[in-house]
Amino acid sequence: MKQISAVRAFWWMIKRDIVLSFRHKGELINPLLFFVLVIMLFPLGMGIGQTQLATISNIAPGLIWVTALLASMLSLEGIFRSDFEDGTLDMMVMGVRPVALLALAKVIAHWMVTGIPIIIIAPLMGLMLGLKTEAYGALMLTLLMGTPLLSLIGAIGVALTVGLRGGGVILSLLILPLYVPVLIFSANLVAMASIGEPITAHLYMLSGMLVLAVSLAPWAIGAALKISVS
Amino acid sequence: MFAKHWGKLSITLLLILFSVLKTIDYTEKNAELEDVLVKQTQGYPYVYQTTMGEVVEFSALNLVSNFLLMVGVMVVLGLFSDRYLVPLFNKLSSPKHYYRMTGKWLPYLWVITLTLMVYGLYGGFTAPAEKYQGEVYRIIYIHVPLAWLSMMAYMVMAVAAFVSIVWRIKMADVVLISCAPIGAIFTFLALVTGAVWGYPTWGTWWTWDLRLTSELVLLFIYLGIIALYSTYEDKRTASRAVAVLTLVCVVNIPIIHYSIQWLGDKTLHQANSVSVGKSSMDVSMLIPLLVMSFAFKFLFAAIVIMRSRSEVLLRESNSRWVEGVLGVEK
Repeated sequence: MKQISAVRAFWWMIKRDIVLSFRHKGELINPLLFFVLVIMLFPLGMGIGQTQLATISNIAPGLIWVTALLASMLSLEGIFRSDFEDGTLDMMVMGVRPVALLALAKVIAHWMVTGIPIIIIAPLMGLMLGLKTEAYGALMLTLLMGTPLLSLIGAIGVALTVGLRGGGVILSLLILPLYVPVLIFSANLVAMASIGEPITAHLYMLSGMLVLAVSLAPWAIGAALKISVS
Repeated sequence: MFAKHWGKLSITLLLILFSVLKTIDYTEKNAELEDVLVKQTQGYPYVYQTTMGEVVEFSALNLVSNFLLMVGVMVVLGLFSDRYLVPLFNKLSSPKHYYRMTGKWLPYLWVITLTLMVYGLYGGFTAPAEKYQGEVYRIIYIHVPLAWLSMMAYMVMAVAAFVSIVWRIKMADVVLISCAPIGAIFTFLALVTGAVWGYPTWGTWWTWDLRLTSELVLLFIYLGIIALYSTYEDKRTASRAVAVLTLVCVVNIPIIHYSIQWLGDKTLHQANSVSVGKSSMDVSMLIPLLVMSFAFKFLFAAIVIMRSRSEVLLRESNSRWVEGVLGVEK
């Protein structure tokens, strides 16, 4: 049998995961529906009078970001599940290709099918929450850099708990504390953009964290997967 | 030469890096904005304000004193490592010897802990009252050692996790998981004593400031580690998973800390009043605090050793030496 190179395996893994997601359309739609529904709940919970609308518009960046974070966590939960159950994960870990690279491919594929739809629909949610006009660009930019960051960090926690019976319950306890810096920088960035302040410093920090996560998280995911399947 | 001494060389490099970072870190906290403006007008070269709004002051004296301290540590390590330290660690990494040696240390640790604690508490209660806060400030003798220790416990765990992943030493796993509940409780107590102190002095139990928030996140990280460990059936696998999680979080803790520092508003929490070289506390108040902080460090060591000893017995319950220790015959 001919061996394919690691880079080819990387692209194959991305392609395979995207194809698999499109075969199970529910997995594609569910995080998005969750995102929209939770955002809808906030204004309803606060009352829909004019004074409340002003408050909502002020806290819109935080609301959108917290909801995106929860949606990302919920959708991540299944990223290694089916592969773990049918034994593909064992093959990945035992195979000759580096696990970190394949894990990175899986995270990228997962982000493309769950992160990008959230980025696309976020401005609409901003409109419904009365987000200030100046903040839309910043919102899209932070989501574009922040959601892959969330996927990379979250995948570490998922990889650690994939083989466990009650894994889903403690997943939030494992990864929500790690999401704190992303949330702080992104929500603050959007809030600052909406009052017209410069955002470059925050943007550099966010992109720095993304670079750090892209280079380090795959190794942690790989190590965690090795532990989980052993 | 590099091949033979790479261990010592890497330790040396790490210590130099650490001393430089440490210097930058605490000069940052000590410098005040007003001082900076005065010093800048005087043409003082080492002070500037960063774009993030914080103040950085490089003091040559601090750098030199830190460097000398680190050189001293290096010399001691270099002189003693081959003859004493390496054999000691080799012995401690074997469960049997660990159990035997720590059993001898434990009574001394408790005596030191209790002596220091009695002395520190006596000193704390007889120290003069504070000018603005009155008697309330005395909780500092509990609160500050707990807060310091909550971070130190995590550093101990991170080192144990590193040792466990790199060298696969079983005892490192045991120490790692023995530290976690103690760290969690110390963090929780630091938060509670902070709230008790905060209400009479700031007028509020809680505020979302740098230290309170990072301490809270730290508490959740400890709880996550404990939860992950208890979810695994097989404790060997659990230890490896916990080691990975601990190292992932150790990258995150400084990021969390600095992200809150850069973006938080002006804080209610008072600045550090204790640091090497320049403390703003009076000596009569400072000495009991330092004594208490050492007392808590010994307390931590004693509890970690007690927990890890029982954990070792559990894990090695099939070995011959455990039967000997417990006086059970099969």
